[in-house]
Amino acid sequence: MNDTAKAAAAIEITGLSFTYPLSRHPALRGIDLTVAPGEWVSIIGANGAGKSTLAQAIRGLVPQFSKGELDGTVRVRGRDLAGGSVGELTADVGYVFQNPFTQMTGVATTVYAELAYGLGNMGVPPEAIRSRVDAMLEATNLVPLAARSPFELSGGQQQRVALASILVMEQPILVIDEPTSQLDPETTAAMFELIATAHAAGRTVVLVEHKMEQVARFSDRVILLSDGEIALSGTPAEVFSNPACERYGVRLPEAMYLERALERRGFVLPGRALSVTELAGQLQKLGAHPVGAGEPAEIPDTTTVAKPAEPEPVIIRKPLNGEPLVEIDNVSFTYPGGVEAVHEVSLALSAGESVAIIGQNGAGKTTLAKLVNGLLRPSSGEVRIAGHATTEWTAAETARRVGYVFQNPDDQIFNKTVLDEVEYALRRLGLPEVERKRRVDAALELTGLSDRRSANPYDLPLSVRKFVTIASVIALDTAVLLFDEPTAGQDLAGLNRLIAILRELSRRGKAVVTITHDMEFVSQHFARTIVMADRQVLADTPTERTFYLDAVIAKAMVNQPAFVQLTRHFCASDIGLSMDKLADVIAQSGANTG
Amino acid sequence: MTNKTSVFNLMGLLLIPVGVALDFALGSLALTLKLPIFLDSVGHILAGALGGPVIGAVTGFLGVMTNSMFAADAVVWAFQGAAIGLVVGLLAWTGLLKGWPKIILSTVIVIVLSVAMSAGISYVVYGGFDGYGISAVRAALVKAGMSLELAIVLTSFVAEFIDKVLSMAVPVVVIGLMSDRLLLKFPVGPALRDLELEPEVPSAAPSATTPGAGSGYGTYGDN
Amino acid sequence: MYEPVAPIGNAIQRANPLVVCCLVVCCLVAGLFIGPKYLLVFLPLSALLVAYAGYLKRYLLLLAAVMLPTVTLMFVLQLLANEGGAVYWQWWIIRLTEVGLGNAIRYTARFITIGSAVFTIACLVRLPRFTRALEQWGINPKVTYVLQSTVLIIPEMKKRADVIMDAQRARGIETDANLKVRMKALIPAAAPLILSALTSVEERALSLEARGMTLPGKRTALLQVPDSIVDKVVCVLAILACVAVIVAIQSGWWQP
Repeated sequence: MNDTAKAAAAIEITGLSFTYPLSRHPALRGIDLTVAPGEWVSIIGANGAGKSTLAQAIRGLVPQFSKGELDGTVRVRGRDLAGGSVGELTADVGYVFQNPFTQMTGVATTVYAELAYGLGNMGVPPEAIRSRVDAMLEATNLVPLAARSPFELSGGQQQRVALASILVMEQPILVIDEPTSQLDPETTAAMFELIATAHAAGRTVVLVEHKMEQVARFSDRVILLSDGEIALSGTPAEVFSNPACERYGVRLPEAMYLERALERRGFVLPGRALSVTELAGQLQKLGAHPVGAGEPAEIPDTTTVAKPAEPEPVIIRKPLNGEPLVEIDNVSFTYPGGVEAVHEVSLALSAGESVAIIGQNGAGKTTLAKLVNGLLRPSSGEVRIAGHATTEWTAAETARRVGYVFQNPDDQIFNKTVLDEVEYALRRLGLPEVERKRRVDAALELTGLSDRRSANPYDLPLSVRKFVTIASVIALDTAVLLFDEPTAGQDLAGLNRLIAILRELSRRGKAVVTITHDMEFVSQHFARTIVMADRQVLADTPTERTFYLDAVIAKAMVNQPAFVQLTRHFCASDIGLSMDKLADVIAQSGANTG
Repeated sequence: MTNKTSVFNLMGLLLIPVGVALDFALGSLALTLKLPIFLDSVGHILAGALGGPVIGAVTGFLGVMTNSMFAADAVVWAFQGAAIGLVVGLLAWTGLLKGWPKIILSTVIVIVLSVAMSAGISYVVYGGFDGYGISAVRAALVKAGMSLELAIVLTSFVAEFIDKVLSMAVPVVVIGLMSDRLLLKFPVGPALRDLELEPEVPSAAPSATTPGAGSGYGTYGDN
Repeated sequence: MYEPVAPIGNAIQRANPLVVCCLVVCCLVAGLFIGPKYLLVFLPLSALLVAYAGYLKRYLLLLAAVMLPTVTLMFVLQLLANEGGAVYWQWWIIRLTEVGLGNAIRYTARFITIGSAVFTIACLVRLPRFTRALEQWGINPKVTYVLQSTVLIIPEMKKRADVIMDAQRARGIETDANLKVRMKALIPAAAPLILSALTSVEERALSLEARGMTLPGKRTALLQVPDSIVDKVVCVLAILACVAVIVAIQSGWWQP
């Protein structure tokens, strides 16, 4: 980069190191990073690698807000942050982060006022505030929510409001830290559309994100942090095709796993492919023909694929094998306010079975989990655990048979150390010490927390706190376990850990239900998938069929995994999730293997 | 440096709404759990302990004001909340909430203060009979021949004792559960505990180990 | 265009809320010195004002439902527990005396004086306009932030308390058995609520920072409360009148 470009840099970081108070290890070490105006730079890396700290350093929050020792310089639009006040940066840098709820200011009684708040602080004249807020509400499709209270909105809506409230301030630089980790796929796509629009309008974007499809699709440059240092840097293709990437705990875009699997079967592609569209293009270069040769079926880059309706799928309500342990028998539930959240749901689960429940936020998944766990009692129908109706027990008694890992670990955690937290419920049950120690050790081992046992849970990242609650539920040794969004915010190590846990629980004969928005995870690791939409079960089938039920997928508004998108491109019939079959199909369609 | 102070102020300032809301939430938690206590001063005691005397006093005043919707004269009793918040803030600030002997002393001070305030307000404003349940007992004691002053102090003590012991205990326990790192972020946090450098963690580096033989994440082709 | 706008109200609804507060508080302070007779003027007057603003039903409901039980109990206790002077009526140990009746009237009137002022303000003043008027008079926006966010955060905290209670039940912590068991549930239910609230303090500070709360310089707002020199003059006059009443009573010049 030449001198003139450097002078005009949006962000210029040299030799940045930072250590939090009371910490022995620096969170950032020797970071050098220059971001050009209008560039989109994504920061990736394992949890704890220093991504958020770097984002906060750019916003001036480190070290002015989160104190600590800082070396090196951070310049934003030519101004050294060491001199100015953190408040002054507001005009230059917009900052959005993970938690939707705490980003609502708490003073605005309407979404409209929420958007106007920042502009008022900037001293924008009222008429200009009105026109800018109106325009932003339209651009972000938030007009229907304008008069609602921000606190009454769902998490996804709040996050959109938070982003819009920053976008409306029109700062030239946006720092966005994991904006979608708590959101469902549809809202995630909507969020990225908004960020992309702002970027197209010339704004500089610095994004911290785990969703690699989005990172690969939008970024000009990807920075991989590991243990506080920049480990890799380059275009998305350069970084993701570097074999070291996964070693640093980063998940790859799904298309790259497909590409790799195809390469193992002899398809040597002429170039890199970061998305399914590119992968299909590469395969076509090898001579493969899509379905209905000539006009290739269009592959959307993200979200839902709407296809013509199919006959309704067969719904199986029986376990794939074995006697049922959990039976949900025609259960409906209406909240005291009169809102029905679950409508005539029936399903059964055997010991050792692991099923996934997918569907949009608000489809009734969490309510169903609470009905199984006994926190809620069915308005009609019955839930039976090992033949006993849950109405025979109190919620706490049911909980001894059905463990439930809440979506937000902070709802459950309160002990001073990880060890105390995991042991707490066991003490309350009055188990002897030897037994407690055995169970706690096993649970910590399985969740990878053995060397964190004396840490304070609130000092651990949210993604690790989730494993603390998982460990405390596993230690209860219940016959049934429910996991609510365990994949949210997890890095590669976390996902692999989760997979190992699910596998071990099945091996121990537990019935496990996992609620998740991560479709790739579902397609790879669950034999059976239940799709919910609008309070009901739409489909309950072996997973290899689930994602081919186009009408169901469209209605539930969930993503089709990359594998299915590729299969759809080359093959009209459903071939399950077998890579071998897909390779055969592609080979038959004329592609040359290397 | 001025910037740091202003941001620090923001943390203290934001303790006020949270403290007031905790007064309310803990009060209703005591109702949900059907406990025979109020617990509606936990929020301002906590705010005082973490934010200092001024934050504590403001939280106490607003806390009692907003949470006593069923008392038309909440504004009068709000001075009791303000006094408790103020004094807890001073105690925390001067290091009297560090270590059990000092904490017990502080609890005694808070109990004495809150008895004095509630008895004093009741006596000065209403001559001792403020129209709440406890003043009926007071009237009975006076009828039975006890002096008015003694009856007021005695009944106030009975009403305040257990509630204030628990209302001090809950914040003290929760502060004990807070990590050093979180405590450090609040204005008075460092005065509540001797903060230590965190222990050496074996390995901070992430390892993307696959979950054993077979398929880890994104392992198409093994099916 | 999409701005939710409150309907334009009548003169009292449009009035500067600080002026309303100032007038009512001046009445209250003067009333505490004047004694029970003050209520004969203030109660009808406040009812009239509140009725004009359209909230008479709410005002009367507050007076009846919230104040009446306390007032009744206080009156009876004052009547019975204080003795002295002429005895009006006697039965068993119950004796109605001159002092008892005097105290009963004096203290319940004091209670009603405070309560009716609070309820009048509650009926006439809306918080967003009140805080905005404070800002227009030069009060630091951080102060008004505290007032406004307090009201909005309370219901959120209550919701979280319920969620946490569920989350603890879900891990087998009993919450409905005998008192000992329920006492034991206190820390598991309270601690996550407090800890996560304290953690969220930092995040909310970050987001306020991001919205420019600490930005130096002039601020603007969509809501403008009418604020003329007349308003300020009225306030000053009210305060002077209040002081005059107090001086008159204390000096013995006026004995209400």
